[in-house]
Amino acid sequence: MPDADDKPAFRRMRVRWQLSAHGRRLLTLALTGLAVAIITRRPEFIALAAPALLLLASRQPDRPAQLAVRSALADIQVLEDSETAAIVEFAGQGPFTAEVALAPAESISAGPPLAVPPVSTPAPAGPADDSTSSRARVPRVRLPFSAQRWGYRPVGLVTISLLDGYQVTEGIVHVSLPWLDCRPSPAQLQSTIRLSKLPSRLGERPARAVGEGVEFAGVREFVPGDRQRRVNWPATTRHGTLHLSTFSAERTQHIVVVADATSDVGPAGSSSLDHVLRGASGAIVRYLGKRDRVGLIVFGSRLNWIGPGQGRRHLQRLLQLLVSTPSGWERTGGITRLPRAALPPGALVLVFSPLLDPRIIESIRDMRERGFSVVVVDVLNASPEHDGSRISALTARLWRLEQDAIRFSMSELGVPVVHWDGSSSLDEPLMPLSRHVLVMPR
Amino acid sequence: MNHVSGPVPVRQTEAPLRRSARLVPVVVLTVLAIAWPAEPGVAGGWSVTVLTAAIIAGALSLLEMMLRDVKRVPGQAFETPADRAIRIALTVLRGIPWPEVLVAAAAALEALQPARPWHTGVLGLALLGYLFAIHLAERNASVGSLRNQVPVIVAGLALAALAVAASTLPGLPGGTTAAAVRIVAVAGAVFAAALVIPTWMTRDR
Repeated sequence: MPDADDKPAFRRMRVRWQLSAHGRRLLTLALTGLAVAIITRRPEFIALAAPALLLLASRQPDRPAQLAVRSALADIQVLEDSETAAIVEFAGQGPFTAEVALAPAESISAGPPLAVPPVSTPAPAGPADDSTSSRARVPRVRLPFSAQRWGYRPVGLVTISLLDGYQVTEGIVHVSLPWLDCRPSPAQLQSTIRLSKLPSRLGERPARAVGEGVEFAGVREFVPGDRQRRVNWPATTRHGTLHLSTFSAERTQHIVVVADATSDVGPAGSSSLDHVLRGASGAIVRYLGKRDRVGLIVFGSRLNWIGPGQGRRHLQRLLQLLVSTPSGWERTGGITRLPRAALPPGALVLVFSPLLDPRIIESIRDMRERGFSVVVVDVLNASPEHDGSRISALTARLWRLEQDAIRFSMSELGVPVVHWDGSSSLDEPLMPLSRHVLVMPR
Repeated sequence: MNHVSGPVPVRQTEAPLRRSARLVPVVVLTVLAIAWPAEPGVAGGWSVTVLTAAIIAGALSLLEMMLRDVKRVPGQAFETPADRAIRIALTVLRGIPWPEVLVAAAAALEALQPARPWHTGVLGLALLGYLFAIHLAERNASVGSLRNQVPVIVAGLALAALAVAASTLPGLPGGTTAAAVRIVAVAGAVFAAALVIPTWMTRDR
């Protein structure tokens, strides 16, 4: 919730008075009655028009021409499906009941409209008027909503409707809201894949090499120059000569997450792109949590990347890049060779992709040929609909065979391809790879 | 002293049974608004066409009210033909003001019948009730919310009765000119009342 100092100033907004839906229907009834009476020369049809005309002619006096309004979001940054709220404060409604509703933008789900009873609060004197007495009397409405899909997206428009007593006319004020930064909900991931060969950079992962870590590696005979504090006394007693304990070296691991944003197929909310971003987000959060150095390549209509790094700020940069890269496929963007700067030697490359774009398949092949350990998480959970005709069934079968062939060719190259349905934990498909230290043939 | 009570939900998610109960008056008045002008029967030709239009408009207005809570789904890749059809049907259903179509069709159907002033007056009452029933169902409001409108509605109904009564006055000469004079006179009386009564009702006491 933004505190008082961060609040935007009140803005004076013009109230647009118009017929309500009920008023429009009454007007239709009145005009129809009058028209039929004149055309057919039958005065009894005035009976259809009379009550409607009377209601339309009745209107409440003292209609405000302006409202002082300010709006804000309770949270600028949220996760998918988490509930947040828009805060709207307004003054100057007078003796009218105000109905405040959020007309949600795409992928935003809003709560019901709220009614604010009439108040006699004067509008703030000016944009900067935020005195305590004024603040205490200004209606403050909290409109709950939730974003159902990731992205930097508009929330929608808040509509303040001032309703007169006869509900025939309404004064409308549209208030725009700031944009929302909605992050993909990270996929659940507990296990991690550990490579057999780690780059010689200080970290927290026990390596095969002997070093100065804390994980016990073995016992060997003492040689001059060894540290005496590492003498293993039980082994020394058993063998009669000095023996000492050895420990694994602690190295860091480079992880490069590749998010394929070239295709977006399937129903909104569980499309392939949704699964790519949720999976990538889950992997980034998990590996950064394990103190690995994580980089990100977003393979969309443009190629964007951030080199491996660590820390909370780096996590924010990666997640920001993940949601801000435009998705889609451009014929002009024929890049298949990923830049060296984004791929440090010895990195584990985790590719989240539906494997529908030939460019990403070519890139995976290229990375494998360059000696990287690549694991592909296949997120394709949709297929083209067919109408049941013979040709359509044949086309669908050919499509499936092509997809199988792509996955088979990946396996032949030594690239494990695991399928993730997008709803279960990522641990399930990655279990065969994370159970042991992963040895990738070069 | 200025007192601001907290905002209250205008519409809340209702149990299906309760929502259906709110639609009962709408259904009854829809049927009445269609059946009343068609009584005692339609002769054919334009009457059948207008009656069909009224029935379609009434059915679709009810359907639109029942599907009011169904959310708009954007188009997407790999969309099934059924999903696409449902999406387009919902867009068309919400794009046309069916209650207005029904009102116009019912009035036209009544105009195609021979003159029967009191019958037309009852149709006016039914159509007004239908529009109020739709308004209340849309807002999930009770009849009590119309309390402050009762005097205006009663005055309107009195004017409607006046219009019907004026059209049944005996001894007036027939012909186009006389009918036009009668229409202008009744309409003038209604307009005058429509201007005077609201001003009188909202006067400072």
